[in-house]
Amino acid sequence: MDINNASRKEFLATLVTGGLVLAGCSSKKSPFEAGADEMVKASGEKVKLLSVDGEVIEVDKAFLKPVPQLPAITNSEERRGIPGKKFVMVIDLSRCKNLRKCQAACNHMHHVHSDLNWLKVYPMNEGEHTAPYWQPTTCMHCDEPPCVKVCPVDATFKRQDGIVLIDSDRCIGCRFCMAACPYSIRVFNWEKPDTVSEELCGQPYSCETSVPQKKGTVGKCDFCPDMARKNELPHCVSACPNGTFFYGDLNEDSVTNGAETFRFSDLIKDKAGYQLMDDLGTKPSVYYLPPAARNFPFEKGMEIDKG
Amino acid sequence: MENSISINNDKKAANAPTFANGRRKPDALTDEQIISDLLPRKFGKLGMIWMGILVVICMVGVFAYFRQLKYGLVVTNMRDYASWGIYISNFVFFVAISLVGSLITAVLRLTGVHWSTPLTRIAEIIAVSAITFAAIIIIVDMGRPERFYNLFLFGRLQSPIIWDVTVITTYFFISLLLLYIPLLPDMKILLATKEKTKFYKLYRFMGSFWKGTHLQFRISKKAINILCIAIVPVAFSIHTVTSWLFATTYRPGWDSTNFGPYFISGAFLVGSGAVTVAMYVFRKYYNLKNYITYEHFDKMGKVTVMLALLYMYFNVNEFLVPAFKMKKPEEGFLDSLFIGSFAPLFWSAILGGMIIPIIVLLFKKGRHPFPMFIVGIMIVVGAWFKRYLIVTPTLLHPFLPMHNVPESYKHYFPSWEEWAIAMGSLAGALLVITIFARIFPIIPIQETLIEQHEKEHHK
Amino acid sequence: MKRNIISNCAGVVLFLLAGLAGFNATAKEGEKGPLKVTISYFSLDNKLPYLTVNAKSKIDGKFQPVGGATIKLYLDKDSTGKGLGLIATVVTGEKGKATADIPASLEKIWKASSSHTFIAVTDKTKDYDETNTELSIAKARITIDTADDKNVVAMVSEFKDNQWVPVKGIDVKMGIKRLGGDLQIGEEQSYTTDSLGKVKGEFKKLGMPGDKTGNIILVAKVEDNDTYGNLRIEKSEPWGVKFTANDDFFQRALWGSQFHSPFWLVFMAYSIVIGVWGTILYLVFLIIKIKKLGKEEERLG
Repeated sequence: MDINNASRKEFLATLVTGGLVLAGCSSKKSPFEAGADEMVKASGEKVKLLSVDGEVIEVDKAFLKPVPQLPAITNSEERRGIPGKKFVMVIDLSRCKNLRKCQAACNHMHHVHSDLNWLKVYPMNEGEHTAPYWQPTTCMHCDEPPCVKVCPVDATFKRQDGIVLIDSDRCIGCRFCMAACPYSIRVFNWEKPDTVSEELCGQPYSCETSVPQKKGTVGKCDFCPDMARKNELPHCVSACPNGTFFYGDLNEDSVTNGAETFRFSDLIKDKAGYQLMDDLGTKPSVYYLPPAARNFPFEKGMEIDKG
Repeated sequence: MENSISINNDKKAANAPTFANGRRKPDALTDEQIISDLLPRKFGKLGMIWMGILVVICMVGVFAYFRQLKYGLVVTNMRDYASWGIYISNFVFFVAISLVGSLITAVLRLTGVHWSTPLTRIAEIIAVSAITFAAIIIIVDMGRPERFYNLFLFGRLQSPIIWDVTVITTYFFISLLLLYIPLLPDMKILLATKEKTKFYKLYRFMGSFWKGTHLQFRISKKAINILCIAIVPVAFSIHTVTSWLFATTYRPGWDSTNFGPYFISGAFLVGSGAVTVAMYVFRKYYNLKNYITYEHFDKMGKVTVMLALLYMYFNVNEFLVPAFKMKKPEEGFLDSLFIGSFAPLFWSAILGGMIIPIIVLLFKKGRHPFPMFIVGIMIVVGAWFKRYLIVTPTLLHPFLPMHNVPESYKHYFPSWEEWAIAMGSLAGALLVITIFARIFPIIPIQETLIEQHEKEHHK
Repeated sequence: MKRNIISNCAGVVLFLLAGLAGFNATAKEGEKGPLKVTISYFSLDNKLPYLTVNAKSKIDGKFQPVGGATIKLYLDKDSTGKGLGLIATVVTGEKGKATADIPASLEKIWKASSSHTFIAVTDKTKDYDETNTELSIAKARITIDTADDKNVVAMVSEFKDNQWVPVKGIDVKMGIKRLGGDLQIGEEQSYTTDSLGKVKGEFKKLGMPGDKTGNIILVAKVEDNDTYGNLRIEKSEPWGVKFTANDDFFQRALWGSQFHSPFWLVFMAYSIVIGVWGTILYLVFLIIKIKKLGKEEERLG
């Protein structure tokens, strides 16, 4: 109504100046920047669109929601990471029935060699009289990453947002990181990945998408920072029909599986979350919720499991 | 004082019945005789066959590597769990064997032992050639060998691989110097021979400036002394750092504070075994019976027993202590070694590479050339498989179970390409030693002459 | 897509074989159901409307996303086929999704009515028959405000007879904007609007980290409403805890980058290297000295 009419000019001014005042509500951020905020840089490419009220507005392409495509970021930006973020994952073991949708989505989106899996689902059983459970494992993105410690050429590195990535353009293929990783999550491209087409092969490698994988280099779960930049969830998280994976920012104290969002500290406290092999001092960024009050019996997953 | 002791020993040895089978006693040799005995010789028929075999093995290795470059490491049977294979165990083996240069030359020299003088050059060339092939084999193991320069562009000081690259380069140069400087006086002798060989120009380039003046001898002696001291910590470093490539990880079987000394003691053992084998071969085919004597074998035998006992001590530490606790992650690994799939290899390496040599060498007759030769081979072969057992079983026993991989990823047996490349590198190392012995005197002539003069003088 | 191509090829081969054998059979393996396209309408902060289309098909008995499907999106019925009301022609991505914003060229049609119909049209392709899907939405907006004692108030209204009228009985979710999702402000999953079109919820997530000044972004949203689509509004409030990210990340550590190795390591490594290589250089110097002596001897002798 009147609020809207009054705000029209102001709104347009906001877009032009890049200022952050929004009429109707006192939000300090432009609607198109909110959400993307510090993770996305303006591309400089503007598009003319229509508002709900039928106004013509000009928006930077990078701030559109959902983000059509991100402007390319440099290798040194990829190595520094997103400031102010600390990505974490929570995996609820009580929800996993070894469907491996996560694995399929991850392999597909990263064009992982068909013999390899970045994400593995283990049938775990600690002792003779303990109950078995399915344990999906991604890269733990350790805060004291043993793999990064041993890399001779900075090809694998730790970023300020907690993510450990691989620069396949620099990796020399010594495989020391694979020996150093106690979680055995790193895989090696023993040959040119059969899933990488000639067209994809020609594309420049990006540390954040980990695509395209290259012969003779190491690959692993990258926590999908390219998706996080778009305020979207990693492929494994969105692929799981049971909502096993929760992803979020520790600095926001929140994790989500897309459908449900929890306060991270509450979730860890209420469900007694733990880290895998934390006794090794690796300080993982992935937390597990014990397989108590399960949604599925363990045997359900046996049909899919081929070893 | 030390000289007189060594002479007494020589005399004792000379009087020993085994030594008196018609051969001239060393103290009856003239300078001319010594020089003509020790000059490098052309290959005989046997030598040519030997060279031919080595070259063929090398060529097969080169072909296999060509395939690996073309198709990637997929031609090996290494996969994500066994991500390191016989390339790495071969690398460890080469580094181990190269340590012998420092043992025979430096440690024995610094402790005032003189009987080892004729063996120094054999030990040094083994060291140089082994460390060269250690460097080559590590490049072969790389998935992206063409990016080797990244180590210099982006080298991270925190990575044990950078430490390894640094110390191996350093050790290579020190070993080269330790090979070169004592070679200088021999150059003069080589240049003075009547018939000019095809290597005359090489000799002149390398050592025409050596006139044998008093001052030159003094400087070279000083240089050799410095080298002998410097090479010991560097040698310890190369193998300790190599052991850290494993010990800096968390894996069962590698996560050990014992690894440095365990590797070094093992390296000394395999090195002395290799020198023994080389001693026997050179003695036999270069007819050096007067220079590499029964006494040398006897003493090398005693040194080898000591080193084998030392290595056994560290083995006991390395296996008994974890086996006593049987921590869960170590259990599968230890079981596979003691009673599981690796047990035959493990016990063969322990028995053949350590226990049987100790028993044989404890007897005086066991320290004769031929039994020593056999024992030396057992030690070297045992050591090679021991390195395999250090690398592979650990990798096949990760913390999390092996899962979600093709069946072939769960086992490891080297492919023919891996065998060809590994054997090719071993043949290459032997080739370097053989060619060296063709060009240069394998027993230091000048030093033998000096010792001879000293003996006569003492008489 | 690759899978489709392979199964197509297999289908062609089977068909040919069947033809040769005199059968009139079609391949049954990898049989696909018809293409199913769904449209969703989103309005962000009452400003920017956009559409999401989702293409899927039953392949081997399970719904799977169809990538690479070309979909034409039109605004309102009467413009179909004429190309006048064309919003966009989109191609679905690997997850079967595509989005389109309303271009400025449709200003007139958009302003003409308070409710609109979006039409998604696909042409007949090798794999699928043509489809035509519609979605009708009424223009609506959502506002958000805060009251005392940390209460959040949201209001939903629709555009009727040229003015905004409150709507009753709409489910509204209220939360705190977080990465990838919204964390609900209290225990309730959603609230239903009263006759004034309003919902009120208590903010119970105390102590949540906000930005540098303690601001958090509150969200009120209507999700998948049959009449109004998806509406979303955000508002910033200083109800969080001030949060400043650690800037000590790039300290020297064993896992640090090339130029962030710990000082003790740098010191130790360089002193060892300098010591040993100094010795080696000295030895080379000694060899040069021997060489000079030799040359001198030659000259003299």
